[in-house]
Amino acid sequence: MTAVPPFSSTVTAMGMPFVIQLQMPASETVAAAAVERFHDQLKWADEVFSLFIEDSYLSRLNRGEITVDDCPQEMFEILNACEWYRAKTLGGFDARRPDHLDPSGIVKGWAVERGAAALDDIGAAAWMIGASGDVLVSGEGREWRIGISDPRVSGDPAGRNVVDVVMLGGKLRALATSGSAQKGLHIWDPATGEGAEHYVQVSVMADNMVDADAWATAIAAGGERVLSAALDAGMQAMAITTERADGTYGAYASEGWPSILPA
Amino acid sequence: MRASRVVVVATACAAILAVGYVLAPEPTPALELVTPASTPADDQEASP
Repeated sequence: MTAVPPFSSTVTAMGMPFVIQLQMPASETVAAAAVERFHDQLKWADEVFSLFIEDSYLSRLNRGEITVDDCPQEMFEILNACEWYRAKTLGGFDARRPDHLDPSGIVKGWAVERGAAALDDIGAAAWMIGASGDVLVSGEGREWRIGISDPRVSGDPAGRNVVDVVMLGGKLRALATSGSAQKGLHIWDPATGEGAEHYVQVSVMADNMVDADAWATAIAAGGERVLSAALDAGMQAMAITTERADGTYGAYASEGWPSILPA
Repeated sequence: MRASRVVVVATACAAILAVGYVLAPEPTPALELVTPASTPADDQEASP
């Protein structure tokens, strides 16, 4: 078989870059068309769910100009999902704000999962999507070596320190990481009503990006009780608890956390 | 904590990591991606 080079592309949506890599696509033209369809899905999600686009359905819903019934049916699905995650995460994930709804904690993962169908359709051997702290891979075809950035690193993490390297693929096809030591987590803890400072950084692996993203946010916000709930729900997680004077970190990792670095 | 273990995580440069695999029979693998944490600051600039 003639080796087909990987196809890489970066598209921007929701105010952030999405990196897409396809292994062995039928052709560059086919790959580019699939990435375009993926991008279209992200842009559509933005038009519906953006809090930054004044006339998005969500913005209008938050201003009371329309009802959920006036929105695409996906609005109902997403808001329902937010309530489901609020219950499952013991309140760690909560889309309710004092004066508006903010489901953005799951919209990105949902949109990526939905858009990824376009990459499945072309029969590439494998694909990977990097979405600003989150990663989703095709699951089958191959495993990917993903570095989790050192919380001290800001900006583009490529070529910089990592705290761990994990294998992503098979049933663990989604990875999400939440938090920053430099800026502090600044995530609202719904239990205390104050800023959450449970962990320096939280990474979660799951079989889909919505779970990974929602649980990573929830654990960062809710701490150990939510981490326990995540493990009960079948998530794999690594939570960095302390930064030590010698530059290392103390962390919890679940039993099945697929690190390839020596413990 | 249930079903978890305490680990110490030492930071390592991705490039140095790759050197650690020089002994492998295959060419040195590189990281496919290094992913940052998403932060509230990112969220404020991002949409939705």
